[in-house]
Amino acid sequence: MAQARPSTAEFNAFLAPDEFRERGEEVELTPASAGRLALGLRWANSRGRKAHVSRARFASVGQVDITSCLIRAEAEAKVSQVEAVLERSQLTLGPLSPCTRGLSVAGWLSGRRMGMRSVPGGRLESAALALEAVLWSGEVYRSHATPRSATGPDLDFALLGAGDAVGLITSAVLRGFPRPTTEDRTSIALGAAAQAAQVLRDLIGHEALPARAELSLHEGRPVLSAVFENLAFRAHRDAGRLRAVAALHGAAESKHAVPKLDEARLLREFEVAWDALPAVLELCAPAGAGLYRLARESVVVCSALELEGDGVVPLDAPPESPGWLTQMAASLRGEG
Amino acid sequence: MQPDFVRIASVIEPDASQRALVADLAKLCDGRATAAPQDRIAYARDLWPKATYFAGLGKVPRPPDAICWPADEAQLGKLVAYARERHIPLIPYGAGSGVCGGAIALTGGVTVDLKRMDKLLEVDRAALRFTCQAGIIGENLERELATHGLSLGHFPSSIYCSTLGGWLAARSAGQCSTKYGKIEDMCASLTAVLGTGEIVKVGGRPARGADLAQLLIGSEGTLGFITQASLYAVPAPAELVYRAVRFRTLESGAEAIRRILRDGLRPAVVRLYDPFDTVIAGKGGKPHFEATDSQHRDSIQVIQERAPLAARLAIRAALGRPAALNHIADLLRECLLVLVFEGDGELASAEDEQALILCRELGGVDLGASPARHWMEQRYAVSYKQSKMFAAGAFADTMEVAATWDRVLPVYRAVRKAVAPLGFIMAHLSHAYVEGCSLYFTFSATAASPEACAERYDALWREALGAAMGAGATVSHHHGIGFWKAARLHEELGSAGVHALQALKRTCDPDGILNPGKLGLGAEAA
Repeated sequence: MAQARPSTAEFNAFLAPDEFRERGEEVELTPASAGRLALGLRWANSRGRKAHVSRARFASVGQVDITSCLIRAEAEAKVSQVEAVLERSQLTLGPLSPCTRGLSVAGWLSGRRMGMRSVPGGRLESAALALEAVLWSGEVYRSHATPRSATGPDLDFALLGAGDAVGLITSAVLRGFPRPTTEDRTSIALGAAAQAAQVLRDLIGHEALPARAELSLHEGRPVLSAVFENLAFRAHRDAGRLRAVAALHGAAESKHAVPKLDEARLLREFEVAWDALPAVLELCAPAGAGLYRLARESVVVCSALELEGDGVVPLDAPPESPGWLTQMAASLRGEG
Repeated sequence: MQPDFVRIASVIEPDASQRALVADLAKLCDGRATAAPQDRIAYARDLWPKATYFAGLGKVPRPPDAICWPADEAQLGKLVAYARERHIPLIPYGAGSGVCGGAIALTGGVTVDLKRMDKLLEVDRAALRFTCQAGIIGENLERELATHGLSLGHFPSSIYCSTLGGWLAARSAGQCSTKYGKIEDMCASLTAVLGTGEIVKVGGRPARGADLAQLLIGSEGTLGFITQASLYAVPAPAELVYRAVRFRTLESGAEAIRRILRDGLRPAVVRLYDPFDTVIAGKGGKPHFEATDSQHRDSIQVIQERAPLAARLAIRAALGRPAALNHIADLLRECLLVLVFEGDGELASAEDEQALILCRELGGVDLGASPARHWMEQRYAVSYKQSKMFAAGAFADTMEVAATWDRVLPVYRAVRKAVAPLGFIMAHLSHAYVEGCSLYFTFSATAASPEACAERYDALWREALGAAMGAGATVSHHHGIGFWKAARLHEELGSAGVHALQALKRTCDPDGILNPGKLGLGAEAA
């Protein structure tokens, strides 16, 4: 394979030989920094070349900012790797699904999961406090690391859940939580699997959604096992709310030890609307289902089955790119 | 870009072109259009304090050419098509409570008031979700939700004079944001009429791709008119538990807030006043403090005794000696932390108990419930006190920024230092998150002449915002950008961020007719 470096002074000055490779009319970029990636893209754009980018070198995880509970991680670092570093500081990214833990940071953020996790109060929030990305125009975008702002549209959302439509995420400042001090696991025996959806939904109004839950059949009967993670008083209070709400639905705490589901079998993940959840759980109960990212907006269901239907979105498919973002990217490249 | 100020007396009856414009707008909006001078004057400004100051001198920003009130998205779509053909700027208008000039018609055009779209369309009690038109006033929305046993949990101090659409357009925060989040955290989906005339519904879960609602929220009318939204509500809280704690220093109080959030507690309200703001906060309605020990009683007496002196000094400062007053404020030491927990009684009380333990570990002294309850009773009053300053020929303004915890105190010190020579300044911390919080500065000043006062206003803002950003703060936490902070916004975004914002603008508003000049976008195009 012929390998040639561009002869421009710009490249000779900034891009190392192993960062750039020409393949016919296309170029491969394996840059070591966002600035170098931007340089390569500008070069390719100026010559009308298609660029293939590898972010293999963006794999480091920075130090934990204990004061603000933050950590910077590069695009190809694994979520599980970030979690391991946070754990040493008694922090966590939150209760994550098994598949999420296996993703790269960029995959988590730019895919359909959007880096969302549930936070106290039962709502969704992006784990990314700030992003660094290289736009296809060849510019390095960096958002300000601030807990919230009112500085126009949140441009990070042109990247979160957007695939690579507008640019490539190269690193992120991620929010950590303090690791919970107490875990309370409570199991409820149900009359029907769909009842689990009603019980869990009722917990939203009680501010008592669990960190995660499992639905399985135990001696032929559906059992919901919910795990509450928090300060001791809060975890026990929320578990008590589950028991009380279940009682209103005619269900009661299971007296039997319910074995944990084998997460390795639950390889498919779906975001499910609350309205669709009863039917989904009826379908999934015989093989078991994991419930993660429980929030007022939706629930992530981990299953061994392939699910489809209204209100059910497979999370491992590539994100759909709305026309806006395509137009925005074209406009950035001066094509609009 | 700043607005041109004109004398109110110079705003006269509409000319022929304005009459023709109004006739066309009336056809599009059920006859609801005007170019009458009194209406144009009323819509010439929002609550940008510099415009308030000039109003006292008989001047307003150059008014819009006309005002209209569309009834629905269909009328808005036709209005946009009409304006695109004629390159007429359209300025979305909610209730005009913005303080950054976001509703000022910088280049003339038509101000489009959305308050006819004020219906609560649907309430889904089971899903804790509702759909509402954007023009509803915040207080009316809360009252309607209350009839369903619900609350949005969003209580900005402007709640009586701001709309849902305005909140969304400027990324508003309410006083209970620590528990319920900002408005962008509450919004499930929204409908908007873009600058192309297209009616879009964006957001909603489950999602197959990017959340475009978050690109319209905060756009301040530069991309489209937000016409309705679906939002999450909460059950109206069964109980409120109030707590006030005195700290010897702002540092220890800030650390208490950080630890409260870090430990997973979620008070609805968190407000830590710096020493002078503590005096002002304590003075407002002469609260009845619950003294629980002699040391505490002594401290409250000191605060109450100092209040009248502070008030007199504030007046002197307004006459032009801000550095001296700021120096005296530096001698004060005590800081008041107000906490309000809400929800069911068991949860609220347990969280309060845990928070108090943390505060005591950091030297906090329990002041009981009364100061916090007093704050709650007075919580909307402060916004209506500024008029006294303007009446005295001075000005007052507020600047809200935000930073991560490692930058919060450096930002506080940097801004105080920068502003001290120019105006009197005080601050409080609020809107707390695990990662950081908002810093809310209040400043006031005066000068020898109106011209000098205007220059002082500009200089004070230049120094304050420059210092805040230099120390690591974002340019705005919840007031938005308008035109007033646009240059600083572009500094914060950097060239790539600005280009991305401009690309988004070209996508949604290709002719640049929507709210030109806001967010630093498109004034030249209109």
